[in-house]
Amino acid sequence: MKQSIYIEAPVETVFDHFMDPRKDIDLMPIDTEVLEFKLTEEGIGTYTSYRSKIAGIPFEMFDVVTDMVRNKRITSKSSSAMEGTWTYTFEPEGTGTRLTLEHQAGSLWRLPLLRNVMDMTTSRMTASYLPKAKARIEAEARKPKVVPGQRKPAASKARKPATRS
Amino acid sequence: MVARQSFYVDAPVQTVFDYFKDPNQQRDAVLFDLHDVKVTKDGVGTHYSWDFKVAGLRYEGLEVLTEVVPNKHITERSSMALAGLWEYDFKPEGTGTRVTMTVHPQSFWRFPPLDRLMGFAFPRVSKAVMPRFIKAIEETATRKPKVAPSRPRKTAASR
Repeated sequence: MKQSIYIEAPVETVFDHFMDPRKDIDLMPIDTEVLEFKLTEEGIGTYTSYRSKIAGIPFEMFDVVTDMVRNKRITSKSSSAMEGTWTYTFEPEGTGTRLTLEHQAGSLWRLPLLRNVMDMTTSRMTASYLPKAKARIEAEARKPKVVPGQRKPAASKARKPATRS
Repeated sequence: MVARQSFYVDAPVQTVFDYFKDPNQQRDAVLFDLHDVKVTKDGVGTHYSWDFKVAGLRYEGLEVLTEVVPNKHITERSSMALAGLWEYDFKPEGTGTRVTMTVHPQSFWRFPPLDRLMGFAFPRVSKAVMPRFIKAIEETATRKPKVAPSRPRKTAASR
């Protein structure tokens, strides 16, 4: 399964968004919450654990960033064979970013018939999730950045001159 | 049910801790093929994949260290629900180290009677497997050159 989308935001913004699953866990097609998130200094080894509910049955799983090239690629491997491995590729395109998501299931889910079922399911879920993630990243990118310690422009703070009669 | 097993290793805490922190050191002792090992700077996020074959069927999994307290504690998460979450605690004892392994099975392995089965099997399996690890760690400790007690160096001024 491979899907691609254009996002009107710099590569750095898109990359940072996908390094932290907490930023859009609410957009996932399956009811999921992040239990633990540990970002490592080198990016590789960043670990997230989740709890999902499918048909009322809770599932716990985790994933680990097994490969990462800053602003270019993230490969994330899941403890769940169904989730398998996800690769995110980031490429600059015009004034934004072309994001490509690739999914490879693990274990038995690689066998031909099961792989087709899995590809169909993940394609649908990704097609539902990606436009929402795009909208969120673009909204985030449009927000004016607040630089720590930066003061508001003097004009907005200037008092009205006292008018004396 | 939580299963716990403790064993003594005749090696300093630092050596024992380093052994469990770096999966590369465990290659000769483990009973499965270990690959894609990545060791992080702080230890947290160190991960590896493993696989083994039983009756022609290949099983594979993923392990990650989620908590690392130098020379004291390691928490390891496994993709295999049976192994679930492992904890290693290290304490100095005599001239060596006391290692306590605690396993918290996940998923349906938490429920009876499977949890009791786990509680029954874990001490037996670890008793069979751990001597290989202990031997490997103790060999590592004897291979390591002992650090000589530090002496003040002679400087030109002291001569």
